[in-house]
Amino acid sequence: MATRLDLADILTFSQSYGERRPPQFVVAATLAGELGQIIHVAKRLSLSSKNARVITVRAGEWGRGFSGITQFIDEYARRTIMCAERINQASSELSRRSIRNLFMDQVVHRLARVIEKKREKSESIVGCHRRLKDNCQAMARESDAATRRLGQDIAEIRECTRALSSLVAICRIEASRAGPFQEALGVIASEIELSTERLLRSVNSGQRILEMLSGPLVSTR
Amino acid sequence: MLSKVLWENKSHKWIICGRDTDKSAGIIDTNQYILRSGSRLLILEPGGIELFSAMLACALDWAPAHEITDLFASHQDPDIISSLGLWDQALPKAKLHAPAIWEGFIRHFGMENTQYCRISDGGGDIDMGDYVLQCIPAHYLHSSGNFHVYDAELKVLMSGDVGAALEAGQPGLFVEDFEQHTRHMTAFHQRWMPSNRAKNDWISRVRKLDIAYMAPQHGRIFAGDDVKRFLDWFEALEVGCAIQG
Repeated sequence: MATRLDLADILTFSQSYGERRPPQFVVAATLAGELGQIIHVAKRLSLSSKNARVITVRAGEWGRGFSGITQFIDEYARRTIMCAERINQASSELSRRSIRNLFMDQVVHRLARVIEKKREKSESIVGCHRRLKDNCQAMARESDAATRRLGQDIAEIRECTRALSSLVAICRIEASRAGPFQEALGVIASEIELSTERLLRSVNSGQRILEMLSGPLVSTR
Repeated sequence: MLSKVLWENKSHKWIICGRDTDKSAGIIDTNQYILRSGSRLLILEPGGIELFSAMLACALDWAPAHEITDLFASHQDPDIISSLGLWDQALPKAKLHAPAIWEGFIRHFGMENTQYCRISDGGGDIDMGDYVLQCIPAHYLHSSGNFHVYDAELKVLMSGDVGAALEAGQPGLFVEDFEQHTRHMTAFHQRWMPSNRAKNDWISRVRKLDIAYMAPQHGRIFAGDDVKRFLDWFEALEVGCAIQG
């Protein structure tokens, strides 16, 4: 269903706005969509690991080597899913918050113009302007903090992906030692490798998208 | 927000986005339609401000922002296009296809980066590259400048407020029992549609089209024989009920 963005797509996306920067709410929603993919891939990885476990039970002594690895794969898949779910939720929330901030920012600018044009000294208008401006700045700080947390979660997924890449090599070795079960476990090892490669691509895309978030909130003025 | 492919062929697909369980209470439920082809995405009736973040997330599931190239607004109502100011910021180079007579009004929602493509009173085409859509005049149904979108390849008519139903909860996507469904449509059409003459003019125009599905902006979609049943029902219905004396 969802689109997958490769690095060229992200570059096109970024450049398509010309002198404007892509708005934060679009970047955050794009990140949510892209990292949402990771959840599906990690679930598939977990399924592959469960399939491997079934085969290794049947394989008995032949599957003992492979069997030991499946626990680790499961654990990394679980951590990846947890991080990706956190990212998905946090970036969706960041997108919503950025939209609210955009509205507030517009009101602040309009009030500033009123105050400037009319030399408005009304305490209520000036007070309202100050309050909203403070709110905008507070929301921008919250967004920065949320962006940093997203970065930490992406880094953790990257760690998991690195570990999984190492496990893929061991899977291949253990599959080759599985005698009559070599082919079945070889297929599973290929599935795990494919999922790991997809995870890595998504993490790289996520990282690039995240880099676009690390600027000031986009204002219409 | 629900997002589901309804119909597709080689060149493009129709996706419905709606039944948003997270929307604020008191906001009328709306159907948004996404048409996705190779490198372009068109949103029919993008919706109101309150729906924008859910709708953006939905659209990004189908295309990156720079491929969301076209918006269509059948008329000027807030539930149709009050989100325009946000789409205008969100999309790098979009076109808005909307009735010519509403341009000066719709621009009040905020348009700095979007190109306004005027649809003149007689209708016209929206060329999406891989396929072409027809804008069918539906003036006074209910807005004084109003268009529906007809897809001749997939035989779909996006009928805006015509065929709309106000049904509580999370109704299904398609009409299942037409007679039962009229209970949810009658009051809406009697009140929101102001002119019997306009209604009958539209019916005679639409009867000439080959329609397999009629997809309104609120409520359920009509399929197959229910399209004809709707046209017959609408023809018999007296509208403009708020006129007194």
